Amino acid sequence: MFKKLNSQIEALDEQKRYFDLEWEEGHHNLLNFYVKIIPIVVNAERCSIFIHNPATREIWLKCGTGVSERDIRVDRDTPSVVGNVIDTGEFKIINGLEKMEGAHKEIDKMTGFETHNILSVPIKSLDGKETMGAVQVLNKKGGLNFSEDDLKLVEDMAHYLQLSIENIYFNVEVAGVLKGLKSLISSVITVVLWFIGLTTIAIIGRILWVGMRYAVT
Amino acid sequence: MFKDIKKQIEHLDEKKNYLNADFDATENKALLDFYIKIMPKVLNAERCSIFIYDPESMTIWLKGGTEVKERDIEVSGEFDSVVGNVISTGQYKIVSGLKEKNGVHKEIDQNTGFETRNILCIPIMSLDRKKVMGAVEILNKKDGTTFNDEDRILLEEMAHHLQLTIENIFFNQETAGVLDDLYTTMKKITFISIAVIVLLVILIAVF
Repeated sequence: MFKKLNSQIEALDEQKRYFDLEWEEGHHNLLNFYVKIIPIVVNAERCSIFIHNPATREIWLKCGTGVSERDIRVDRDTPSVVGNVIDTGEFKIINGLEKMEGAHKEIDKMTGFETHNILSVPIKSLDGKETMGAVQVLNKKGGLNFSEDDLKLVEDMAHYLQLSIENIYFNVEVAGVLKGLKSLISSVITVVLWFIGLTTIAIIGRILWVGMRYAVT
Repeated sequence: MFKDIKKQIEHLDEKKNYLNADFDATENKALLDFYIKIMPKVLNAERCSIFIYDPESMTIWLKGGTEVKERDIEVSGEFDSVVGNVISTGQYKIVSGLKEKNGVHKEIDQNTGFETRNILCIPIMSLDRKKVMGAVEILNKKDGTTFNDEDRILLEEMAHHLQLTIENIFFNQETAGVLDDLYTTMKKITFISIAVIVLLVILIAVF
């Protein structure tokens, strides 16, 4: 039984190596893939993915079109579209941003890009309890505004991005518990074997001792 | 220690339930439909189809596609079609001028009522790159041009991510199953160990 489980675990470990290769470096491959295809799908200029830490309320830009620097922190004291989307868990479409003040202007300064309109949707955890981040698409091409269809597409993409990320974390967590459980079983078996061994020696010793005493008398 | 592990397993079980809820309910159809929707958009093409290959029965069948239903198209033992060729060789294919050519695509066109002009077809490989699991076929570039290498690389990337997501979900279902088995084994071993120890203590006491 234990052998069968052991070989199953070994097979899973082997398989897990392929996933580890793919998801290494903080699953940037996955994020870069979404950052690449989202603007094409909704015919926009840029896309950014923001990550939110609910415990500290921190938000940072994880990945984006034309953004070479990672992990740009969003100032939570200045009102921002992404901050609002993450706090409320509701999408936002805003046009005419070139005339408005706000955190987008600071990010524009950092990235050297002028934002005209934004479609920002929250990335929700699969249990729907927390907002894990946001996908923000900038500047619909052709001078148009973002539509309901664009919103639906970006919401779907945010959902599937989250599905992939949660599966990766689940994967890592299960692997950790499996390892712990396997070593616990090995420890229990070792302790029991030692106990059986020592008890057997004690019983044999006792039998010999009783036998010797009987022989002497 | 046992309590910790039990707690961890319960937490993972709960997590697994909502991770799988999304996937099991529609048998990964929603995920495939999503990719079928975005792939033609990304490549500026008219249609997309995802084919699955069953090596045992040597059958290729349509899992999903733009305006077609699952298993609408089934190619059994015939690998002279573009998709059949891609699956048997594991190599992509870009074919143009299909309107003037005869072949399996004409039969499929008759069934679906759609006219195919050009095709970009790539294999879906298993993560270890050893097996061909299926193929993705994109039909008719919209702007009158033909598919190029840039389209092919983008499609390969999308197919890879689709495959990766599906395999990851199946992998999680598998590991969660092994975890349950391992936990049951641990409970049995603990019970047997306690019984053996009690028995031995009694034996020692008797002697």
